[in-house]
Amino acid sequence: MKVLEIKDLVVNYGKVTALKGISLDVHEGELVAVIGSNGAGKTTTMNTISGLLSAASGDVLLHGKSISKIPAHAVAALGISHVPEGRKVFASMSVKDNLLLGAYLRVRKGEKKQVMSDIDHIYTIFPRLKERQNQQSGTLSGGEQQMLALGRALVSKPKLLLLDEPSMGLAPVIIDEVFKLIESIKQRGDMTIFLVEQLAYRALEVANRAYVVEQGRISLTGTGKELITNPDVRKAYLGAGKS
Amino acid sequence: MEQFIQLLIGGIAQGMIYALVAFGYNITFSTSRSFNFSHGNFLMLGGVVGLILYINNQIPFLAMVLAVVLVGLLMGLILYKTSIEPSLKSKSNYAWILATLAFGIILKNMVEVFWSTDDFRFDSPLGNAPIRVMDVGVLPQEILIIVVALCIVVAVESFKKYTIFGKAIVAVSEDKNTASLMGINQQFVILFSFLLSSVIACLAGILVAPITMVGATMGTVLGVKAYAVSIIGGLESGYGVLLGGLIIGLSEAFTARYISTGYKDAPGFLILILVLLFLPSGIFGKTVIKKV
Repeated sequence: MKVLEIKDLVVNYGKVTALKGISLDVHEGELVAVIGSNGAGKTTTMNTISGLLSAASGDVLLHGKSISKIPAHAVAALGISHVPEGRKVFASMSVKDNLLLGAYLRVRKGEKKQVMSDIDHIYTIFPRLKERQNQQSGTLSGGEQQMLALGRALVSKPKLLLLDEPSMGLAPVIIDEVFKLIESIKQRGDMTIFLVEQLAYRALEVANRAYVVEQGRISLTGTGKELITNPDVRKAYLGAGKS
Repeated sequence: MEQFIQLLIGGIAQGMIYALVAFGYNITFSTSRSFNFSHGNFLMLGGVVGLILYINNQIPFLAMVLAVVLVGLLMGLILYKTSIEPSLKSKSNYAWILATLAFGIILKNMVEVFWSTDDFRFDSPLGNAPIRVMDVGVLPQEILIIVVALCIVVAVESFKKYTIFGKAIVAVSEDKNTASLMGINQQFVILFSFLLSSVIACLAGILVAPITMVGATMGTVLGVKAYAVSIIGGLESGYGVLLGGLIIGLSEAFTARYISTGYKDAPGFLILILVLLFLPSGIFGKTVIKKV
């Protein structure tokens, strides 16, 4: 079953066209990755799905229903959780408050108790967040902030998790940790994941399927394994022959 | 010495009024990044409505306060719908300046046209007899002002700190887009901040009325001074306005007494200039530590 479907999506920034008609789909339980270089339109795709940007034409469907005209906060209420590029934790607020805000809609629905136990569960996955739960989250290291941003998305219990460039600005060891985590979320199987990543090799390793975007268009698609061995991909994104 | 203490209390009371008005500026600035230049006239409206109901029509004090709160809510909604929402959409930084400025002028002129251009006395419900403690006379209204102002600031700050909706307000202040990814309706939060701020301004109007006079122009200078207070305290700091208010209120009271009433506004604005030069984000301005 298709969870997410993007049809011929066109997005403009003023006079500049960033997406020139992108179509893709993500099925239930899958991890689908989009790879491509800087400025290819990866983050634009992500922001249009979650309602931060609006499309000039084309459509975004969630479980077959159009969400392209819905504002971001209402999209979140439909079960999409977006971990934005650059993490965007609420820097002046404590780690705990950030997690609580991740579950904002659930708390407002009166699920506070359940949310608190889910936050405790997040603390067992990320023990470092527990140690720092009362610390201002702006003072965390980049890796810790990425963990917090992930945790904040997980406590909302999304059906569809959008991950925008989770490796950005992190040291290689930390990137390993982040991707191990993404792999384990995927293994749990209760979430569909849509991942956008510049580090093509990492993304293709964990992805069931992937799309390559180039200058606002999809140039290639296939399973993660196929793309890793594809000579064009290897040449353009993987530093041919090295990996 | 007695006189010194009286000046001190009078200055603190005046400062708390400034702080309360400045607090309103900060609430809306932090969520909408726009400055509400009609704010002083909301205060005036509160004072005028209070006077009409309580002094002219003898409505019970608490019923009048409730009515003023309702007027504040209504005016906040109208301001938001007519001036703020369209300006936020236009993405121009000048739209909201002009829109809120115009809204304030219209409000003031309407009061002048449909009500009066004169200033009226507003007798304090607590009476005008000073309470005497060891030769120091303090107006009961001054004590009321200090207590109510502190209560309002502490209540709003605690609301922001301890409730989920309050945290959502802080989140919107910090990063609107990311807040909306959490499912927070940023437009609603901004509207809420305008309602809250205009109610506080209207309440400040009835609080200050007994120590000034009530008239269409009462909010103009107060609005400008509160603007200075909110910059001195730090535009995004809740408790900073209390310090800012104290600085301006006290400097005014003491300059008026020991130098000249003509110079009473000078030290406050001098401090404003110094703060802008050396601490541009205010004494309690937020400097968020951010690792990238």
